[in-house]
Amino acid sequence: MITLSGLTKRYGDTVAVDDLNLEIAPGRVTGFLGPNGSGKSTTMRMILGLDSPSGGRALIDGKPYAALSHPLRRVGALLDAKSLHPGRRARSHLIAMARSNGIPLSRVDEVLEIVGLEKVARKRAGAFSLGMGQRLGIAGALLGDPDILILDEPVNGLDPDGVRWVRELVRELAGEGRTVFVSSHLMSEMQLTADHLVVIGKGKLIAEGPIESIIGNSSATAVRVRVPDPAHLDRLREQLLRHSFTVTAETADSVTVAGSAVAEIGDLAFQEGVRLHELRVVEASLEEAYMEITGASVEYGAPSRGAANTEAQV
Amino acid sequence: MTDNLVPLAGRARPRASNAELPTPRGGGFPGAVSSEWSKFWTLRSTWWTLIASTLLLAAFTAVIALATRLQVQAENGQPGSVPVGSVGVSGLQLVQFAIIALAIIAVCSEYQTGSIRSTLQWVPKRVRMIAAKTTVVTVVCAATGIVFGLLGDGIAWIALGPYRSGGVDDVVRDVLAVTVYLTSLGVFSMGLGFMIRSTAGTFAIALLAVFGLPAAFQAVDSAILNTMGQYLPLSAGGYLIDRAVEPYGPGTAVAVLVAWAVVAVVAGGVLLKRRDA
Repeated sequence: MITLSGLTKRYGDTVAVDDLNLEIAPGRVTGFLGPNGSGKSTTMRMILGLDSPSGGRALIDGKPYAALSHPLRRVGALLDAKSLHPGRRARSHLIAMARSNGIPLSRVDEVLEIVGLEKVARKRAGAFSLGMGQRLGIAGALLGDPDILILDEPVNGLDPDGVRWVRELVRELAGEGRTVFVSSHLMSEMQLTADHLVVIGKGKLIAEGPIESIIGNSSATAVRVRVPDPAHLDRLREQLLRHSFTVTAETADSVTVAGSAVAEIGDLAFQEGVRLHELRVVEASLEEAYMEITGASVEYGAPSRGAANTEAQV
Repeated sequence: MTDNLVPLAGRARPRASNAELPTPRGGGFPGAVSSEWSKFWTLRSTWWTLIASTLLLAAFTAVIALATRLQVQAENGQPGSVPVGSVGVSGLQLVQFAIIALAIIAVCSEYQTGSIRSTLQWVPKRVRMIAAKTTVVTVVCAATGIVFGLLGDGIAWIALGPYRSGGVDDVVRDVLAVTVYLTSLGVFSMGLGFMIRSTAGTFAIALLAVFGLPAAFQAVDSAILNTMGQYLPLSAGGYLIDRAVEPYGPGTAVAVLVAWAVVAVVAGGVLLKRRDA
């Protein structure tokens, strides 16, 4: 369990992380989303005690990271695949790491095998490709067989095979009851991997919850109703508007209704004696839901056409 | 690019439970030292620096010793007239730079490559981390000092032949003095590294502090600055190795050298604790 309470980081006048309150629970994959510069990496560094918070606390099972007696046995982290010395062989890097926390050296070869680096273990890390560096970082995160994993962009630079492997690994680790906190820019990947989402923007928490509810709350989630009889369609639309549903799209034989209230719409059609050919929820993608949530908090985004027009009118 | 990699699909899974790894033991300060020791010896630059400086010391001392012997012979000097140590420590002028470089690289290469973030993730207690690094640098510099001292005096002993003076006790004293000087120089430079963090910057400041300041302090016409100059590391090391009694003896010299090293490490440690990695 990772607990953030009032976690804040300021750099001069800039607030990088603004009063974050969160509990990252075990047994599930918690996805950490936010635009570039939203404070994800700073938050992860504060959890690991690398950066000290300007306010609030980040605790691992109730203790600051630096107070853990064998931190690598409790928390495995992949922050930046480049945070290792390029002149050191991959295996030597992991051996120095194992020694620091009293981890048996046999575990080094084990994790090298798990991530598929056993054949290049004696190469210098500087000669590694981005994907190989990423695998070495994951090997390091697994080295102490920790209960908590913190992974910053773990699939960065991996080929499709590697991406799938990380997804399965992460799901399996959470399935074993571990706490898995993973950030990614790839929404489609996150949709497949995460159970729970935390979305931040400009350092503030903007959404948190099970992935289904975040997608379900998106305005892009809608119910599509197809009605073959035009008279029936008119009657149904009238009833929908009377019951304050929002009709977002229409065709000659269908209406699309915002939200996911299939049951209510079905009941309404039944009461009105409207014959239906289709009644289903069209789910928003995580990407659509995410864009909607973070729209206002993109730090370095290009202005959208709409925004540009508004500005021109002012 | 990934030709040597084993595909990830269908790979073994990590251990299912923590029960399979033995209960945590080890780690702590000994673990931190062991990790720093591993890191120090698994970089090529360490080996190159040590091998190159040892060869350089041997060659330089041999040339100086033979030249001295020829000169004494040419001047019809008496046998037993050249102290072994006067020739044996001459190579230090050169190889002290290697010690400074080794100590600085041990710290600054981690900042330069970003691997300091790994180090602090493994050993998040910063005082423990700097204590571990100090231990490794101290041991390495002391061992190198003993080797350099023995090698210098040994080559001088052989090459001077009948013209040498001094016995085993003189060699032991030389070796001790060289060891104390080089160790304090190394630890001092390491402390600077934690303060400045960039390799080039630290090297520049270390050279200025060690070699520039004493010369500058001697050059000015100020009794106070001249006296202060006598308490810089290079001056103290010189008095210790040359067996000076004026302005102070070996006890004070050792204390001055140790004080510089301790001050640098404590200042580095304070900054390390306060700054973000």
